[in-house]
Amino acid sequence: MRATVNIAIFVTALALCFAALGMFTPPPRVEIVSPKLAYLADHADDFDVFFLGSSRTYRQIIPEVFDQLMAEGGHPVRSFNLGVEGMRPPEDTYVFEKALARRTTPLKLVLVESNAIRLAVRDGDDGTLRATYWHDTKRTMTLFRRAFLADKKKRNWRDRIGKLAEQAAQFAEHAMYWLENTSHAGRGHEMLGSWLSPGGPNPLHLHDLGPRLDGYSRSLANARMDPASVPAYEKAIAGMIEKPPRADFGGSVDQAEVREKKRFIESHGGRMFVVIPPYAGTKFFLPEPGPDAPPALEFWNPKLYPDLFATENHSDAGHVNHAGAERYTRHIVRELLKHLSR
Amino acid sequence: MTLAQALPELAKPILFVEFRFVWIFAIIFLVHWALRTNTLRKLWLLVASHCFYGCFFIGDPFVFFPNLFAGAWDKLPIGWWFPSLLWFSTAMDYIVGVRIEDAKSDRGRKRWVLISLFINLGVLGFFKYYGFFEENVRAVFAWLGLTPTWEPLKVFLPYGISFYTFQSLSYSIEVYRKHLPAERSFLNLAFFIAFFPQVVAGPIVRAVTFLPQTIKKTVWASVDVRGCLTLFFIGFVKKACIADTLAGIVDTYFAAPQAYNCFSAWVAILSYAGQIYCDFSGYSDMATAVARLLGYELTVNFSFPYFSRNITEFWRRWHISLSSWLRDYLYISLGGNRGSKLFTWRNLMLTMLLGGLWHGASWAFVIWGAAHGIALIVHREWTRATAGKTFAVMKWIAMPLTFYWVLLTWVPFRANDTFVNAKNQPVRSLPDGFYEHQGDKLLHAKADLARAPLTGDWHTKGKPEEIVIRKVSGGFGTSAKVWGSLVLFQDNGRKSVVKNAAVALLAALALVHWFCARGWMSRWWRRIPDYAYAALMGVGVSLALYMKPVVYKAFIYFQF
Repeated sequence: MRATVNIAIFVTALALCFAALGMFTPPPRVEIVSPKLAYLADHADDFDVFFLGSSRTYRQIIPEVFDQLMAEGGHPVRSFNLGVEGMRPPEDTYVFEKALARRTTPLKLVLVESNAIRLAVRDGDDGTLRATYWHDTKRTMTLFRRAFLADKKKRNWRDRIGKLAEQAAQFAEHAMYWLENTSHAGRGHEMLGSWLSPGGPNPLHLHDLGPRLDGYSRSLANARMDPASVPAYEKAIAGMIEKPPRADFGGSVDQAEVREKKRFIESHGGRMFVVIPPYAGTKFFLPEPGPDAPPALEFWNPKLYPDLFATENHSDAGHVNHAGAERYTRHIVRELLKHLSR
Repeated sequence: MTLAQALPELAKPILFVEFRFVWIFAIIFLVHWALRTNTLRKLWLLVASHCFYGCFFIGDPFVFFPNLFAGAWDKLPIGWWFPSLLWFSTAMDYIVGVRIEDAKSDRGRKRWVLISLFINLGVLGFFKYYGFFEENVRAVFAWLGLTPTWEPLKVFLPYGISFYTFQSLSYSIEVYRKHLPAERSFLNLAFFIAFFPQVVAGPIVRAVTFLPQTIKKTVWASVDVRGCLTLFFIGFVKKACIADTLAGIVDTYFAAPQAYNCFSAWVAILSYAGQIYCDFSGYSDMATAVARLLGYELTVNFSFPYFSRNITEFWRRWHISLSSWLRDYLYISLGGNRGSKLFTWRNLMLTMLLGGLWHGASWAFVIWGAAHGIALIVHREWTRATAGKTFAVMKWIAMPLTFYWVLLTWVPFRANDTFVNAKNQPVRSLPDGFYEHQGDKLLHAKADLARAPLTGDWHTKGKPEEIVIRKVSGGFGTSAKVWGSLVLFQDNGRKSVVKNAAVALLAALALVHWFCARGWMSRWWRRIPDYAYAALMGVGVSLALYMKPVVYKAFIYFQF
């Protein structure tokens, strides 16, 4: 009993101290994310269209081209590319909520890259602030549901134990990140480092926002595809033409996450579209069709969009280069205008 | 992520400061105390220790074991078989110990102890010094204008080999000296050598200290839980909050000392003194706390060495488990001070040179050892020359003078100059996972997991799975520049590595350290009631987590 009381006192003191530290700790500095969020905090109402997603959004959608074509189509907008390398649900929802935190005017459109929830932490991000910063309780609970509740298959007890161990292992890493995020682990170290530095804290890298400060950075998109990887890529595209990739609706938690995102966007007066980017793959995530499903702009088909799969327009198998991005943005606008005119 | 993807995460080398360690240790701890018999407990800890040690080498178990059973040797990670060296060393010393005791003559005893010395030191020497030896032979060839025709042999240093070899040797020597009966239980000996808190980075526990503990069943009632938690917490703060913070200053400075002013050199070397002390003594504190929580006692490794009033005292307080090992098994075996003045000097110098070389295969460590050897000789002669006399001034300058000398000797230790004058000489090879690079530019001194921290400009070349790191600018330059600032107060450049206010941080750390040395902070936490202790720990842990780095640096002594 005494031990239990002592543990309770320890946990209470720990939690109170975490809360107190959180009150004066500035937001974490995460590459690409922090400059974008900091800029949007200062320019909360400057943009009415957002592109949300991973590097397939960050490197591939050019707001400048988008705005110009939309204006020509009779829909003047100002868009911002909120794509971040490796950003998938539920991180993207977290970032978007933060981006809109200070917004007072209604949104127009939000184009969300179509991705299922990712339980794995991106290679190279293990243990870094990038993996930690978005693990608030809401997002961690989403991951908990995704790990433990998404799978409804009937199994015998032996498989059930195996599955449970697998789910526990999947979730344990995220629980750890939640703990790190809640405890603001490492944030004091970061602040002390900045304080000790002769130049003070490093300024945020505004070049991550691109030359027009619209979130698109051309510097990442100029590359040409490595000639050595071209044959494998061309083979994969030929395979896609022969056997088109199939739509994958993910699990119930993935679909719930899409609906949640849609509700959030609509609560800010915006309209959500999902975008399936062009890349070599065998399946793509799609929201389940239905009256509440957000409209999808699909660019996965090499037969319909051969230019988006041409090697000269790609920097690697998964991404288009700047020339490809221009074409891709034009295709997006064309499809979008069709939807808007309906 | 599937279980197959999650297990490799668990199988990564485990640092005491990671959250991961808390969960893993919780399992080890609970199972240990749940087991009824002493034998089962030791067996469990032996298995856990070998898993802990194996984590440093095997990589992804789902790749490793299928490849191992399929005999796909070329697909196994470099050094996958290193854990078997630990078994080899244990088995060999087990046999040697029994043979020494069973030997009918002193000659037979001597023969067996020499076999142990030869094999243990042979294995250690090969893994630790082969690369160094070959590098220097190649340098001599180059100097003679010859081109070596043989292919360089790629030898990687197994983690902890210096520590467990010395532990293992202590057993053979003690049995030979009849200070300890030969251990007839292989389990006890294997457990002693592999016990996970100390297997990778010490303290070097003597057989005579540890083996008697393996006979009795550990009793939970005798575990001082508050003391263990406090010691672990102190160790964590030292390593995670202090050493890793100071490392930022040190790494920045030593990456380009030519760019910084004299003030920066002083801040950097003081920071390094703090970093290496907090890093290593923090590890020792955590290892001791973990061992105590399992009912075992390790050796004290540090006793406020920077407050020593002479270099002899420094070596009684710094890395005590190594310095006392060297004293008892090397210095005394060489004859100690039982001879002429020159004989004693030789013994002191040899002991310190070998002590330096124990840290790593580099001329930097030889210089470091030599500097300490010279200081020990000077102090010895000074003490003899001034016996019976007192100098008031010494009361004031003895401690700063000793500390200043220690600081100067830390310079080559940290700079780790290669003394390779030719540019682009390969100076070390590292297996995959021990480096991070972008193109041919080395980004991160992750190499300090395996070897000394990197200084200067480096670039990498080689296949991803096996890379050769070459220092772009070799030579003695780094140490010379830093010494120039510390001795002649020269500015090497105009930049400052930190704000002047950083001095306040260092002064605050020194003050706290002084309070601790006076014993003013060592007992009060025992007197407070449990609830106050629990609340205080809650606040302390949250602050420690706040001040820890997001990504830890590997313990410095892992490389040795």
